[in-house]
Amino acid sequence: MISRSLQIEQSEWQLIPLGERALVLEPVAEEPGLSVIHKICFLIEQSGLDGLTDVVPTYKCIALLFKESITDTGTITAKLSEIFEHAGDYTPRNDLIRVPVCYELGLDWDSMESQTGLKKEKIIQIHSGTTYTLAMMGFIPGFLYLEGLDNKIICPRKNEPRTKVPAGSVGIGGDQTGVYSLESPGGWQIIGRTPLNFFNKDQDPPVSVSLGDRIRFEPISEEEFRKMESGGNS
Amino acid sequence: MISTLEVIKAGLLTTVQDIPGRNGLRKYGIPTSGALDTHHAELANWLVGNPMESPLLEITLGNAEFRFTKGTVVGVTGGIAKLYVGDRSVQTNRNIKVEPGQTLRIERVTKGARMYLSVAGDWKLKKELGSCSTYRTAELGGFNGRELRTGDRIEVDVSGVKFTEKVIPKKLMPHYSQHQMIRVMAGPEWKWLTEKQQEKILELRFGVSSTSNRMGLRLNSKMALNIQDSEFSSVPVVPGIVQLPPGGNPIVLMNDAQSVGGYPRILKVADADLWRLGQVWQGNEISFSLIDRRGALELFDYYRELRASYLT
Repeated sequence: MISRSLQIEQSEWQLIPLGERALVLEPVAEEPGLSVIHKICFLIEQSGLDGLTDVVPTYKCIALLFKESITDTGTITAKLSEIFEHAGDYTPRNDLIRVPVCYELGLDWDSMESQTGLKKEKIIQIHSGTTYTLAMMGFIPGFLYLEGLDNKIICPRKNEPRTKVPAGSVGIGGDQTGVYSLESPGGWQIIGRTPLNFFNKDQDPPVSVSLGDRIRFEPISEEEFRKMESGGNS
Repeated sequence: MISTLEVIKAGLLTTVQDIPGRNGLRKYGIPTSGALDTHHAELANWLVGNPMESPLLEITLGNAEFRFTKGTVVGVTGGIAKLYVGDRSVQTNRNIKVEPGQTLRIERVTKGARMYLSVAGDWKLKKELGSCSTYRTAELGGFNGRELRTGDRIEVDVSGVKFTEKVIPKKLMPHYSQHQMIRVMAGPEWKWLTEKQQEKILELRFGVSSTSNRMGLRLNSKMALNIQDSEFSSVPVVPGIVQLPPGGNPIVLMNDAQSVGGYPRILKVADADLWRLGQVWQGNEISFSLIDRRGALELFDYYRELRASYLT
């Protein structure tokens, strides 16, 4: 069930089923980049589709979740095609957010060093010397997936995920870096912890950062970490 | 009139859940949550005449006891367990009248894994982000965002609640066996596997790991299923997706699972069979039987109509 293709910003997209109640909108050929993904999400959320409950962006595709089983992709394709044709301009948010990280609280320095062939200090220097873009959220509430990791510090995920990763953990999973806002299971290599919390269920929206925001990590000592953590700084 | 449910013994893990849980928040990483075994959760609410989306208790492995301050009507269904009102043995799968001050005791589940307890009336719980379902990772919903503990009290407005005998039709009750066959369709990365690997996955009996929980059912294959080049960036997932991490032990994503994941999505459990996974536990084995998407849609409709025809 692959429907006819859709066009936006010189890129071509197709809808692929993900089970009974979800579709994945993915590029036919080349990867169009995050700004196009974010724009499409914005457009679909603005217009809405019958029975649509969720629009979930990822690096390379977008999931559309529906309340009921999807039997007629033709109608959805036609509606999306209409939305894309009438698309106006979209300016993504790009606030700069500084995120303090205590790299001493990393859990996987041994595997990071052996996998990258670099010393811990060098990895920290590279990791904190880059400005990342908030590509998506997911996995757990407020988990920030950041684009822009330097190739030199790419490191595969762990073979068996940990059953417990502490809240605030900063990790590397393949060519991505990210922040665990809550304690949860997880398979990324943990290189540090931030005292910041990006998820608050009493806020609307419950996450304080937006797609497109720029993130920079700033090394702090364990003492500073403890102080900020107990101060409830978030 | 309020009847307060008091927790005397909470068991291993008892949480408030509802159907369909939370929607519209997956882009923030907030999962659906809700009752794992939707089939029995719906039947439990049907037993007491509550709307299908009413909150109820999901009691993992039973072994729990409650007291009600005022008279009410309750329903208990799900796995197989002995049930007592006071000292009197009563049956599951039918609605039960409870007198003021009486206790309801559910013994340890002997087959299946989860019991659902419905209480007729309006549960006085605050919805959080659109649902009463408990999601413990983010301390969201249910009773203070956590599992129930001894001494916890939940108020239910039982005004106007009447007892008319109701029994779950036999045709809607599953047969629990130690080995479950689960119908699945191919996931987006199924084609990454060699034909041999695909055959093997469909032949294997997977053990259910003790590290399984409401996020995921972790399966043990005993045989290496390692697939190469499995490192790829995070992609969307939904409950029912079967991931294959490099170690080769598949994980079936459940209601509290993430919205995106970084492992190949080899299979997707048919929505029609998803609730059955809420009733498997360590010691059980599951096998996968491959059907196509059309077959999965038909299966879902078939069961929905079957349920509707018996519950009129």
